[in-house]
Amino acid sequence: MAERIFWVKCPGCEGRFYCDYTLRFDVAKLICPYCQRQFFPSESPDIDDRPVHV
Amino acid sequence: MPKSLRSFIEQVDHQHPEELAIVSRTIDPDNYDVTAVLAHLTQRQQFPMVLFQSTRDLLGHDSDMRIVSNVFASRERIADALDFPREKSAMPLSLEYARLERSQIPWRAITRDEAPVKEIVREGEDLDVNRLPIVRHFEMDLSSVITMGAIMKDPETGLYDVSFIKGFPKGPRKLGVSIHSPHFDRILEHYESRGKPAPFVHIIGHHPAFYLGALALAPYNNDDYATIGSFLGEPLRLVPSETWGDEFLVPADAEVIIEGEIPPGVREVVDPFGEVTRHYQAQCLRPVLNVTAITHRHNAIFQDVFSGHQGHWNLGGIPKEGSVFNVLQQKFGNIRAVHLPLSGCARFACYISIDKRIEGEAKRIGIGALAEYWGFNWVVLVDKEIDVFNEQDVLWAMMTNVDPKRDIDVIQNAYTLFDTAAGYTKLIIDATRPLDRPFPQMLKVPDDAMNRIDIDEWIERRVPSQTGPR
Repeated sequence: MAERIFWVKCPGCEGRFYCDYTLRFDVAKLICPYCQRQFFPSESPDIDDRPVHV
Repeated sequence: MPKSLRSFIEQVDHQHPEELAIVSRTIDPDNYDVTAVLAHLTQRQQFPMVLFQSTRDLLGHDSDMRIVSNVFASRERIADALDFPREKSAMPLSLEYARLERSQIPWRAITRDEAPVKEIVREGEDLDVNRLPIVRHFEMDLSSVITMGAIMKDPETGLYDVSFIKGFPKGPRKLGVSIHSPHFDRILEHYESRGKPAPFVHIIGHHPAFYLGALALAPYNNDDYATIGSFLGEPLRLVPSETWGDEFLVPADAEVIIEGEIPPGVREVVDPFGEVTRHYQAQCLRPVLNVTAITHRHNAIFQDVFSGHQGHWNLGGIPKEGSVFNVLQQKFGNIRAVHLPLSGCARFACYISIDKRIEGEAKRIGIGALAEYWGFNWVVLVDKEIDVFNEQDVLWAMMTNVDPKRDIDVIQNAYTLFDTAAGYTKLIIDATRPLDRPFPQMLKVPDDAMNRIDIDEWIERRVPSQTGPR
């Protein structure tokens, strides 16, 4: 991938979506596209932020 | 009558009524009704322009606006928009585009009373972007998204720049704006470095030639309004904006205009949104627009692009085909055609046919193509007999002419914007016949036999256009 992303699970509806890695460490609240809940990544029950293997 | 979205819809309805689909039942664009209709049509390999006559706004109320989409979903319709013969909608259309982008027609200012886009003006408490029928496209999208053009103005030169921008509703008078235009980034930086808000205008609905002109690969500090005039074939009519008056002129024949200012340094979360690659763009921080006015026509037609699909791909592909052809032809002189196939989203793959003169030449041309457009990941070179607009032909050439050990070159760590697995890796695939060793020849029915037989006269019983197992 050209840009690093991470997948995140919404702590409210448990919907999964992904974000640019610049948002990984609580610089801003994420917005769940499914339920509009706002939360920091640190509040998510499941994050996939594995690094890119090249 | 000046060209507008309405005049184009009338033109299609008159000349090719089979290409204008009408949906009369009331649709909810915020609940995927528009994109579900378009996805069904795409599954059937049908690409009409679709006009939704009855819509709801984001508040769920009946809207007095209509929606049109798929305007750019066929190359033939794009040819119509440029008053170009639709039977020449392959390479000749791309070259016509390249010709138009090198010309300009000065714009013309008119009064508010003459401007259709001023028929309804909403400001102050009357202002609410949620009263627009904005389309929600895909299931992971953050929200409904405005997909059409936008205008900014360089504070130093005063020249107008027009591009495509996404707008995410974030309140009655606020949008998140996702800027992918290097020119817009530069203009925004000019304002932000002065600590000033940047004037910004969304333009939603205009003649397709307006948007095709907006995509011209023009240098920074080009007067894009004048370039758009070249594509329209007439002066673009402009009118003073509600927010900045004569200091910022806006297209008078647009359907809907959203005016606002981007405050310096403010960023908010936008995305995901289904992008040109058929992947979602990741959630990220982007500038916001404080909306100051919305003006529109009576019964306005809210235009949308079905992103990540054929119309979106054509919009980006056709301009690049012409410009890449011209640059390579000027340098090498043996280019026959250039095509950005839909399978590569008309962005990251490029097929080039050449009249190859010497072994190794194809790779030089491939390197030239990569230098011309940073978005390519895959550049495939084929011989002049191969039709680059026929993907089966191109893949045949790849599978028969390519020796993977010597004909595929990998260039690493070269920038791209697109998030595909190839990422910063570029490939040049030389699928031309090798000239440095004996090699089999492609089958060919003799030209004189082809020329002496008129197929319509010789075939007495019609055959289905598609035969064989499917």
